[in-house]
Amino acid sequence: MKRAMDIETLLQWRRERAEAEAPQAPSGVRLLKLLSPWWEVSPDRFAASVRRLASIQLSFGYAMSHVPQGHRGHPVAALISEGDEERESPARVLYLSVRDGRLRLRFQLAPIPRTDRLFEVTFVSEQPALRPILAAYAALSGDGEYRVDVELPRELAAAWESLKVTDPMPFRFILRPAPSNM
Amino acid sequence: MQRESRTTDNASPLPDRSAQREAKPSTWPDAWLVNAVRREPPDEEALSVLVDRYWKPVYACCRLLTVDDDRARDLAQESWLRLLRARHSLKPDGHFKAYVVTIATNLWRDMNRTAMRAGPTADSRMASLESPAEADDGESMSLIDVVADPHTLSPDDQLLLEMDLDKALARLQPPLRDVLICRFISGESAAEIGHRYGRTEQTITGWIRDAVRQMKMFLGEARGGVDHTEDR
Repeated sequence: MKRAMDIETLLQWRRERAEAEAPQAPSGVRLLKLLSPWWEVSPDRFAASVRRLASIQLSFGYAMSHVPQGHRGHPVAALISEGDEERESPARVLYLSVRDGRLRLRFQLAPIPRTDRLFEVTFVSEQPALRPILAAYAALSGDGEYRVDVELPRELAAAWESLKVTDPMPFRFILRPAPSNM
Repeated sequence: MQRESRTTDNASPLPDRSAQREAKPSTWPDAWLVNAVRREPPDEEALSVLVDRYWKPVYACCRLLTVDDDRARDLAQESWLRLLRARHSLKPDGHFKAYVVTIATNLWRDMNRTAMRAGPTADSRMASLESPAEADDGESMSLIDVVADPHTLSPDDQLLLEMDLDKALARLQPPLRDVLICRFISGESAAEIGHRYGRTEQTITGWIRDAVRQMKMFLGEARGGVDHTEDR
């Protein structure tokens, strides 16, 4: 005789099957290695990106003329780094808020990349030298803006708390496309 | 990530050091393992034990959410990485499995941010209005004529049912899949889910009912073309 099945029972059964079919768990060593920031894993690559990022300053005025008008906010030098290719893509910060130790930031790229819906953003300090200070994800929203919402290290939270969107930004971006289809 | 922060705290009870020294990490309770992972640098062996202990349930939840093996593995792994990045604020006496599953679910929601914010589309709500009268609580509707008890099926038939279930889940819009899994797998109440979405308990109950109805319809199509389900 058939027993009455409901969706909950079926989903619980599917969950049990998924547990049984789970791939091997990554080891602690592997996870900790993956945890290392990319600039530590690939220091040469990071150095090359920083050199390119530093050079953007020379053509910045021209580049920012491509950013859509009508938005306030200061331009930020940005470099999209994908595989062996790098391209400059001026960014404009549209919103910035640091409260309770979290950074909430919206920025726009010009032009908006057609395929990259999620970036891993490396914040590179302007002063005293170009060095990585923060990594976060930026997801593309429906209105063509990338949004960052990340907890800040204590010292950065304190330093950026009074920062306004109209101030010169104390950082530049290195943007690395991240898989957005999980 | 609101729910993640609820399970974290800087205060942490210290484990009994002598007992911890004598026991193998594989036998340690979660609190000891979490404390060892919070240290700088994290204890690799303790981390491996912790991941081993909860990898399967976390992966299973990711598999139901993503309906894809590779994406589920990536999502599960990324969830552990997120946890490690915030390890200093881990709470040793928290409900660890629920914490990691919440990170995974939040990550998946972030990846589907636009769809999640919109909620189910108007089309699906229209469909639910046109559907026949159903029980007050869609959760209780049976599928007796569509699906037999999976435990009584042959291995081949179980595989087919698994594929049909996956296809049905994949056809659900992300918010409907989310509420279905939150309700039936994570055991959240409609009120808790509603709080996260900024919707009323009644709205979420409606979404769950809609998700169940769509699952029945998709499964019915996959298993003979006609939905013979009984409502009760």
